[in-house]
Amino acid sequence: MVDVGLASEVAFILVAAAFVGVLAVRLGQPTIIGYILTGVVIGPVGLGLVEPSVITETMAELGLAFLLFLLGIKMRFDEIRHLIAPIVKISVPQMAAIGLVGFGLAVTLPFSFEVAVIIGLAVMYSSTAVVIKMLNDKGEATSLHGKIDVGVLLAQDIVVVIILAVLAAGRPEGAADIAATLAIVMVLVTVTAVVAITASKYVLPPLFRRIADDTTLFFLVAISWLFLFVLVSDQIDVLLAPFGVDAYLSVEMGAFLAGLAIAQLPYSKDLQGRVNPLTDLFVMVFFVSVALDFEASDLLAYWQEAVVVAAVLMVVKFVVFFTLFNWQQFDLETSFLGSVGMIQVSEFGIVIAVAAAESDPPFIGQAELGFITLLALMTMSVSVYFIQYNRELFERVEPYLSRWEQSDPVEPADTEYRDHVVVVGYDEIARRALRILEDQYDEIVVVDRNVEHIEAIEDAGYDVLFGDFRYEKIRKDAGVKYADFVFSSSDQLEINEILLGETTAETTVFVEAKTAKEAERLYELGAQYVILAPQLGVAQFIQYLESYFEDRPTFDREIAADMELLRSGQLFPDVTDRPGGDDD
Amino acid sequence: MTDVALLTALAILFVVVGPLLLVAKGLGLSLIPSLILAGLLVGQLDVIEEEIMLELARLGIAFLVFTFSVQIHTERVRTVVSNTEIVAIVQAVVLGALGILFAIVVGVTLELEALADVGLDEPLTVEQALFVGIAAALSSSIVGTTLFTRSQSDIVHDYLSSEIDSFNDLLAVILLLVVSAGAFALDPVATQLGYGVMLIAAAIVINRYLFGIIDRLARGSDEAMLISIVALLIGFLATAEFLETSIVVGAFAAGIAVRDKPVEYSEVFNGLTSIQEFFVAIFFATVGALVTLPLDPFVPVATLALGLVVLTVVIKPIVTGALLVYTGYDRRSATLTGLDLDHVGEFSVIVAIEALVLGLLIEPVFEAIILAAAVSMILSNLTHTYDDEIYGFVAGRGWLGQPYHDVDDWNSVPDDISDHVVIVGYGRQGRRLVAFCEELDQSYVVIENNPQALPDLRTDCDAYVFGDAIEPETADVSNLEEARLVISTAESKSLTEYFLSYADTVDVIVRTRELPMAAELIERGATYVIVPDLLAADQLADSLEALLNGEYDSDELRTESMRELDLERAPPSRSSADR
Repeated sequence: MVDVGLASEVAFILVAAAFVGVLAVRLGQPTIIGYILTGVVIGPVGLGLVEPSVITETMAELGLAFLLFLLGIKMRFDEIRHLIAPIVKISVPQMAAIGLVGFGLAVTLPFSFEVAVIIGLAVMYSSTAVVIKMLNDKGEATSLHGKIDVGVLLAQDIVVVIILAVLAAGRPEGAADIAATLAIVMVLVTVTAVVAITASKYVLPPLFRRIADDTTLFFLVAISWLFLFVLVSDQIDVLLAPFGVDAYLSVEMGAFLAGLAIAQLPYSKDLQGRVNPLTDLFVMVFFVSVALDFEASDLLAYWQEAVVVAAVLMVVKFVVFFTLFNWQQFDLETSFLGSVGMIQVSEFGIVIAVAAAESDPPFIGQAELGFITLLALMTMSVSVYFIQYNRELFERVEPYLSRWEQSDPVEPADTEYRDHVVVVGYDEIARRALRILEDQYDEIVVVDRNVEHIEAIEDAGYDVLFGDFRYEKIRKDAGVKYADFVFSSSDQLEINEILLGETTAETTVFVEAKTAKEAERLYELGAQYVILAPQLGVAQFIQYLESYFEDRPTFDREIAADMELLRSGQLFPDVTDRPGGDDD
Repeated sequence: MTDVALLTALAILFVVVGPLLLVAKGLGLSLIPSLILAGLLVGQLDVIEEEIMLELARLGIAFLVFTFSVQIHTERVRTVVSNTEIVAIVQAVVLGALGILFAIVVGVTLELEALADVGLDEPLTVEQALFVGIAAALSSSIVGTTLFTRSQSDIVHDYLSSEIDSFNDLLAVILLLVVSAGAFALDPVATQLGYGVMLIAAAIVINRYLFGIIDRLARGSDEAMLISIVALLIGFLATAEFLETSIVVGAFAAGIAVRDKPVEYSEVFNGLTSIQEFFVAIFFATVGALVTLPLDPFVPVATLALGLVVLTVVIKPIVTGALLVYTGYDRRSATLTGLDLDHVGEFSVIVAIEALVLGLLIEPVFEAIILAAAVSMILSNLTHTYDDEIYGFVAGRGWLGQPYHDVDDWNSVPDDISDHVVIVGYGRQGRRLVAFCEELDQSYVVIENNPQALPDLRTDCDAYVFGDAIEPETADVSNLEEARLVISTAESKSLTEYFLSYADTVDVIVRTRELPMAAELIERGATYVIVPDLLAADQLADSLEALLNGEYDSDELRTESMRELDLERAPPSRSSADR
């Protein structure tokens, strides 16, 4: 019979990585460093305790697929549209310049031409994981320099995906071969992208609209959608073989496009929150397993070269980025902060190097892979500190930068909510509150996790976010911290506790509670008013009943407004004209 | 076995799962049978390498048990009412015994010479029969509480079935401990229990001392916290494996080791949910994939599966219903509760797979249990949707006998009562209405069907009927036709419809949470429809407007509303109308 034990290497990897990961967090290092070091320590380089297994390899593959899926889900066209021009103008020349510098450095060092090309291709990106993580931690992700950095990272990621696809096609036999491979890849990528975008326009909206309310179903169907793309890209050579086409498409590209299709739906933000933890888990296995294939001699074979290249690259990256930011007429501070964040070599550099090393026959050897990995490791670690203290640094160097001051810099577009109203959950109570609040406030954003509700709210002309308020991402987007008034019509204690933990004393907070005991707790946490809907409801009903027993016509008159609303049977009648309501 | 990479196998699995789930959603079926069916389909493609998939699947089990364990020790465990507990135990014992008996009969029959051709390779022993018994007995909610959010209902039978379910869960964890002993001999069980106790003791130590350290170290990073908790779980699983006890025990202990779920970790626990759902989906699909079609040998497997389905779908509701009526619940609540529990529980599937992995269960019996689980879950969906119709049908034929009253003073209504108010449900709202009627000297009758409210009814109400409102004799006793007004505070579709049938002669006020539903109810003659949120909004609007107009400042509002809260804190009590 089946004999199953939990694979010990998976258990070992997870436990060790968690331990080192927590230590890394403590020491202010990115977790990625911790994971890679874990691999170094427990793998053949260090103690030799663990070797890769089917499960770890699959989890690592899933890690990459999920990372790109997640990235895809974040790409909303309408959110980045206005920055597309400067981002393209910064990212393309930057990649070309850094790629050339990397190639040049590698050629002057003892690397062959071919290896130098791969090194050039691997070092031109900055680390999505490091930059986005640091920006989030510092609350700068939505600042102007944050947005541009994120945009540039995404542009770089698209290039990564294309290069991975080319590498997956194996060693080219000449320029014509490269061109042919590139052409097939571009055609396949275009076809897949067109399929994905068409689906996101016509197939997915009705599909996901039906299921978005059911969180588990929504999540599993989205994963199924991801795996459909993974399966097709993974098996494209088998699928197209009968037609005599020798084609390759990377799993990562498929995953990215699957995410892109979902990103255009209003439900994508909620899905980000759901996919993120799985990504964290699998990516962790990925980073640990990077070093599992190394011997110590491989990782440290070129350590002196790596130190030199790392130092030069960081300086060059800063200069190139600063020049390009400046060229695009961003102010000094934005240019400095935006550039200083991007000086590291990306984890995608390792991914590309791994792909190049696993290609058949390999483009680079294990020692060169070790060199690129070491490079990424060192630059990432150093850059973390630069990002951590970026503003202090800027104050120091500002006097020396003044000659690049712009006379008319690009102003950051302020799309952040400030002193606004956040309404959590939409129901009859919230609807009435909205009606009253809109007289006093210009900006109102409603957070809800029900498809019909968000459509009704949008129709009524309010801003709306689809998602679970428990996700930090959603709270951040709603600007809960900066709200002047928060109205929660959710009676879930957990949600209201989170809410009260995030608001300041200046914010007026109305929350709903199920019981008097919960209400007491919410008052303790600082709520201005706790709505006990059943009690309020009974009180109102008893008022009606009093009239019923005393004088029937009065009762009929009093309930007339309610009856009209009830008779309309509309879940959310037009917010702006509720007939005869007592709030008019 | 086709040679397919694990990633491809997983991809195929999920690609099949997606559309099936969509179809299931369209048909109103729940997730788990759909997942099992998807697995069954993919299993036939022969791309799944059982051992490796089982390894991923067992992570699903581990996460399920882990989450369950975190839940029961962080959320205050309800004080379970004793008579529900007894019903749960007796129900499980009776069904378990019937299941064992049935399996033994099948086993003995298969041994007959005449059936030598269709029989099993291995004899169906008493041990095997025990697992059939477990499958028949447990209709656990472990997945129900984690994968589906049960609608918070105010109906007696929903409350009852979730009580019985949670009790089944506890029973299942204990059973798993026993199963993991590897055999039913006394000695290993004692050793296993010892290991189990050791693991749980270790978990408590971690909870008290170590978890605080992890917490301090990981502070500020959800990712670090998430992976720490995952690592903690995996660490316990590995220890359990090392001790050769069930990973279920390890997962359960790991759940205990995690400290209360504070608000700052809400992101982390959300994350765990995603990871769990991913692996749970793999788990149920793998379970399906382990069933080979066509069934081999067909007759015994099909017989066992069919028998289990009959036991759970037909016999179990009858047993549960009878027990509940015996403990004082009305026949309607009892029948509906029975229909809620009429399936092979998800936890039985876990018990079966653990037993299979440990070599305790032979494959044909395992397959029978899995098939019965899938079929009974689908049927359960149907009976749940049409439960009122089924009750109506069965009661209409007189199969349920007369409404049963085990208390003499089941009503206290004066014969000549008329022009009174009939208040249905004695919950918070019902109580307020009674108090209000008494203030006005308005005569009233309360109708309530929850035995737990009976003492209060006796002491506090001038006139009450204890029984199902829909029974004709309840209407007779409460003199419904002569009433001035009926107020139903219970949010039950069938009750609402029943009272509206009196709307021509009596004023009827009913309650619903759904606005669209309210329109329909008014159309059908309701004098007024209580929509709690709508009513609350009317009251709230005043406070909010006062604040925004500057009549109040926010501190005044806070002070005043907190004072009102103290007045509100009348002792809440349980009834059919507010839960």
